[in-house]
Amino acid sequence: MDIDRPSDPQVSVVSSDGTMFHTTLKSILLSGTIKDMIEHIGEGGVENMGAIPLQNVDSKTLEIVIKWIEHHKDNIQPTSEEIKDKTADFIDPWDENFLEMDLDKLYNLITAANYLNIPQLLWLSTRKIAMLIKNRTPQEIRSLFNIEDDWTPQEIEAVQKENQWCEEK
Amino acid sequence: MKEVNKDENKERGKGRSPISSIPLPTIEQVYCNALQKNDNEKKIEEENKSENEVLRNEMCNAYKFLVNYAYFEPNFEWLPMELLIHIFQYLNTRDLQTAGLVCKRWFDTTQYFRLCKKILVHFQIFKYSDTAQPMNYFLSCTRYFPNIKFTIVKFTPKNDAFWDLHGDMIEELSFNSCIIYKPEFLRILKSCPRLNYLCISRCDDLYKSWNIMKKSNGTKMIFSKVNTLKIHETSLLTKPIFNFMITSMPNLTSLNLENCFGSMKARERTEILDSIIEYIERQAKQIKTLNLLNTQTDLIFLEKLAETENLKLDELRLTFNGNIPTIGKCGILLLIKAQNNLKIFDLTDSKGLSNLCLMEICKNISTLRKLILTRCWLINDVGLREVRKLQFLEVLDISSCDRVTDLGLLEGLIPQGKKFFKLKELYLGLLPYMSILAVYRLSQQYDELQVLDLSGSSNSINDEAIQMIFRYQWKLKRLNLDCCAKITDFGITGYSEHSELGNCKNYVPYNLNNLKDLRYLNISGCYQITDKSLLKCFDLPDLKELNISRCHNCTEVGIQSLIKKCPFIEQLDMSECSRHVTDSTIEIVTKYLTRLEILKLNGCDQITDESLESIKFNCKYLKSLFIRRCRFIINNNPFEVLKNVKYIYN
Repeated sequence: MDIDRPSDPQVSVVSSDGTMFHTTLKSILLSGTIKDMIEHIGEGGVENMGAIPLQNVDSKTLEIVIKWIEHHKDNIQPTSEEIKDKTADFIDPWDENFLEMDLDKLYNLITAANYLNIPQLLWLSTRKIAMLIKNRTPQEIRSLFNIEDDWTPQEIEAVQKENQWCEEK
Repeated sequence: MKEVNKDENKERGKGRSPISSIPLPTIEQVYCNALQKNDNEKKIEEENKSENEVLRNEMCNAYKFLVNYAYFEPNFEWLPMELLIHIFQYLNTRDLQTAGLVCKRWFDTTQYFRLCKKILVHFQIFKYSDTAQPMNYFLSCTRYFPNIKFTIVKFTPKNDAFWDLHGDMIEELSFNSCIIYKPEFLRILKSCPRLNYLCISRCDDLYKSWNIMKKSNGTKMIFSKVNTLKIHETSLLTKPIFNFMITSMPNLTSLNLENCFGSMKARERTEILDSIIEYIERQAKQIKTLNLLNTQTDLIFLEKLAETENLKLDELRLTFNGNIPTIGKCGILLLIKAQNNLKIFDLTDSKGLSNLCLMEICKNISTLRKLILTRCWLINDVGLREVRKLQFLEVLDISSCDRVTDLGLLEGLIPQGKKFFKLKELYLGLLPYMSILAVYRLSQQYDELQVLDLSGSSNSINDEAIQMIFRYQWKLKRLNLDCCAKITDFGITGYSEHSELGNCKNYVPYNLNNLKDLRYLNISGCYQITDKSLLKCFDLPDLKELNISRCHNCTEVGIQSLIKKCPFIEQLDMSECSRHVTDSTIEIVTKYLTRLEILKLNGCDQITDESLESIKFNCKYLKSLFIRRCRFIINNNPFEVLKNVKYIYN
């Protein structure tokens, strides 16, 4: 295993639609999935392994992800276990700015962060969506996310009657 | 049926449809159809090559559809379930419920057990019957309700349907001021095999009925999963009942007997205390949490508790009213020495807790995270300065320890003038000798506070101090400034035409809007605050609870602008803002605050019965309404108008 060497070799990744991106080993290791891949290659593989294919991430999304991991490569990343207890913690203004994107991109970012297993990025992006859902009516949420209403009035009424008796624990 | 409906929607071209609501032809299907077609019309097709081209086009289109439309269309309705759960875990109950109403798939996601655990079903004020509401709503639903609480409910025999349906899933159960008798109680417990938390508060009928009822036919009941037992506010808990509880729940780790035995005869009390201590001695290794707040204990009890072998509590709450301990053998001091592994120590209302005790606590229990000393009147600076030994301290409550002054606070909390702890919550209510300097220094050093309570410490806070809080405490979630009457508009907005500070060149003003995370704000009795503050500040989108009672100088204009900026307030107190709260104010308030649950309007003598109508019309979730001393509300029975409101105090 040669991951911890001081020099930071170049690594290439290929998106699902065939675009190649270059980044550094240190940044790409933020992804748990790729870290596992590289660990399995074993001795001396890093230099000679060639481009890493990522079938589930398209080029636009991969570009965004790489921008994020390169910015955060020197920060200590929390594990997914630590993330679970993390709630409304302080968000870095850079991240706040970074997340200003349309919903389609955000959707792709969430699935990519999940596939690549980057807990901090997944936390940031899902939390962003949660902030959008917060304090809105169902109709507002539907039109925001373009979701169709598949409830019948009777069903909605029944659920609301139950909800009336529910409160925060 | 559903599929057909959705198909029609699609044809009408109503927006983008979610992927799987359209019955997609798979490639094989398209191919098969094509082949069938091929068989039937083989001969014709052989002659007619253009038909083949149509077919090819059809397949191409289907393929394009699959590739371009179905697979690369982001739609949040169809986000993988585990990612939806990821998103939903950040929502509070009300938002979670709203998300559930968006579409069926989101609703199914909200039923994931970890999300359900956040929700408490709270049944209040009715006579229990399977056929009447609200229980009948719950008999036709298949949702998962792990936490159930009953308040002021009269239980009746032979109504089992709810428990047969939901009992399997119930994990936490509370009875609060209920009329329930032993047979029903036991039957309910039997039908909840997963129960791990049981709380019985003020249910005296249960204990009264305990001995009268015939004994059940000898079968021993064991509720092995129960780990937390709470019995609150009763003097009727006798030895046999307690013994039944502890033998049927052998795996308790947390025992909570708050406010008990108050009006019990001395002999009976000694008896039950003896059985409690016997039990604790027996289960010493297992018990981790013990709560005896406001329950009368005695010296022997404390001594025995201190001498119990293998007892290493994580959390201890008790009220110590015994003799003020001096050096030597004394229950409370022995207990402090023995329990040196505590994380939480709550000594609320301990009139006998001296500086010596506090010094011992600070010396022995270095693991302490949370220390609560509310109304421990004997504590003064000498004791408080020792707090600096508790290096892990996160929560400190010294409200109403009114001998405490700046000296103790600063030496205890900022030793050597530097931030020392990772303090998250600080309660400094009703401290008359605390000055502005202390608040100034504390808010400067501890900039990670989430809760700050300065209620009633009116000497310690003025405009400059509040500016300091706004500057450093931007993580605050709860801020209590009850009766801090020195605060003016300048403090809240950081802007003034007259103040010298405001005109100073290097002065950077801060205002309330810096506290973006604020959920709870109490400025009751800060009467110098006027519309200027309400209009300029209060951009607090997360605010859930607001108390602006006795702010006489706030008018309708200010209140209107305030509620438009914080539309998600759930609890609002506008008591005694008498001059300016009128029927039209109430109309606007109820119209904008759709999530209002508690509304207090005591002493608002301008409002009339019309307000009740607007409340009825606008507030769907309102649970409590306070309209005491509203002399123009003539309607003697507001319950008739407001049928959904459960508590009305008039």
